[in-house]
Amino acid sequence: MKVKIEASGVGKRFRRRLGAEEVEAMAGLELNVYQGELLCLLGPNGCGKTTLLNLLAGFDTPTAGSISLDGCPVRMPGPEAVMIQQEYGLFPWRTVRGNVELGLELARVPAARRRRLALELIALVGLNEAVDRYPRELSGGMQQRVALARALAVEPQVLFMDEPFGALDAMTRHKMQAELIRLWREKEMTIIFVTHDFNEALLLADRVAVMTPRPGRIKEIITINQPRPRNLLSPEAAQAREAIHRALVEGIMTSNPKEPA
Amino acid sequence: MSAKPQAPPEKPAPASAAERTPARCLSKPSSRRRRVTWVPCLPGERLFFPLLALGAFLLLWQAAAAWYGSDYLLPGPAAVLLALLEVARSGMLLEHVAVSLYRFGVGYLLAALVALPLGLVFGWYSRLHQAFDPLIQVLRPISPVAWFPLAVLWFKIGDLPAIFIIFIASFFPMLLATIAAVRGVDRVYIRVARNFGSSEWDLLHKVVIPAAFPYITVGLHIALGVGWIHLVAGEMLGAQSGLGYFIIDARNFLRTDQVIAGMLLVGLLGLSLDRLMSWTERRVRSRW
Repeated sequence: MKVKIEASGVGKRFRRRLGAEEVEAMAGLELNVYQGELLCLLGPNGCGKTTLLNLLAGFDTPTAGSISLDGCPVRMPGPEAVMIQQEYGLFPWRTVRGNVELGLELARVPAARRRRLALELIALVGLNEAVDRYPRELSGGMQQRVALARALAVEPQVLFMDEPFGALDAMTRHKMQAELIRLWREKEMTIIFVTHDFNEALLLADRVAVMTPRPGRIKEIITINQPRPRNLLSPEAAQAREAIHRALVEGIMTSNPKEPA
Repeated sequence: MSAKPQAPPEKPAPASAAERTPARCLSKPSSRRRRVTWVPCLPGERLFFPLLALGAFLLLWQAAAAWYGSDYLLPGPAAVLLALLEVARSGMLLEHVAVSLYRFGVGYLLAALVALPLGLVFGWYSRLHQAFDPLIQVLRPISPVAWFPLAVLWFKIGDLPAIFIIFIASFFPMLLATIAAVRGVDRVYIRVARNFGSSEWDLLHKVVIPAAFPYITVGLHIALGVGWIHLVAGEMLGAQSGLGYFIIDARNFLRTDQVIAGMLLVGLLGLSLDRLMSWTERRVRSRW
């Protein structure tokens, strides 16, 4: 399997404000993400999942170690690896179509082609009837579909998602999870998503990377071989759940509590 | 009304339908009265109380004027209305209004032309803002009226001093609102645009400006009011025409009725401008 993203010896220190004590958010983190896999980052709150995602996507730079995408160091965010932001970050002044066209517009795609591509993607995520509506007129699930279509429009090789389904109600979340699997299969992307929901990780991921509390490291990577759609009550799922749980607890127990919580 | 099959649960087996009905009729209006205080039912009702207040004010004013008995110290509303009609008929009034609106428009637009780009730049480059903020903070509290001597020295008599005063008056609200608007742009929009490889220019005009726009219009609205207030002041010293001049000119002839007529006109025009702005704002901002 080809390595898509490689993070080696990654560390991140930062100050909350000027003059404050330095916080070590991450130290010696090693992670290989394979091409076309669906990797889930799971860990306790404040362990640096979002920080890691920001580093991988190029929104932030590590203070130690290196991160590369297809062998090239990641320096800044780009359309080859798109992040779906936590609250989706849809532009309220643009219609659904305008939002989906954003990436194409910034890449100087001609208007006619842009429009055609946008409509195609809007159809793909099932929002045909909402093309000319504004984000505030849409439900949370629909907004997420728009964000997905907007990301897919630029044909990214990697998709980052930060707690993508956290803001959705249970029914919508279930639907969107299935939707994500469908789009992932169709587009053959590498997807890395952050969650703290066991079930979500078990339902979606090829591999689950369990992180330790601060300073964040990858404690263990659990591979889930179960075919999709998955039954969370199956013995395989129970086994994977057990493994994730053990890694999580071990990570918490062995972490040195340098910083008062 | 047919008899209802089910009885209210708290009253077990009332004697007859006739006994229940009055109880329901009594309880309903009382509960309605508690919930809703007053709702306008007729379109005219929204005007009724404001007109009542206005009528009371005019009546009081007229009574005070009659009691005072001096036409030039306190003319009544009737006298003011007559004065207004008189100058309106002479055609002078329209000229004054037109020239005032022209000066206001020029001063206001010039201020927008300078303040908005400057606000964008200061809002975007925080270092630059840091450098210039003290200067802005010193200049801002100076009343536009204090610029008068300089305005007249620099621009002589005519349109320019008034335009300059309006410019100064509307400039700072616009500038400060734009800076705050740009600084307040949600970072997530910028992250999204950067993710798609946005150039700096695209970031500015496709993300920052539209995102800041609703808050910039707040500054434009405030500046409209402040600018209009200072129009009259600007025209009282450095001009030979316009509503401010009209008021001063009327005072010189002890035509207090015309003074008040001029004031009234300033108020009404200011109100119209404000309403016009609110209306445009609502239309433009409906999406945000």
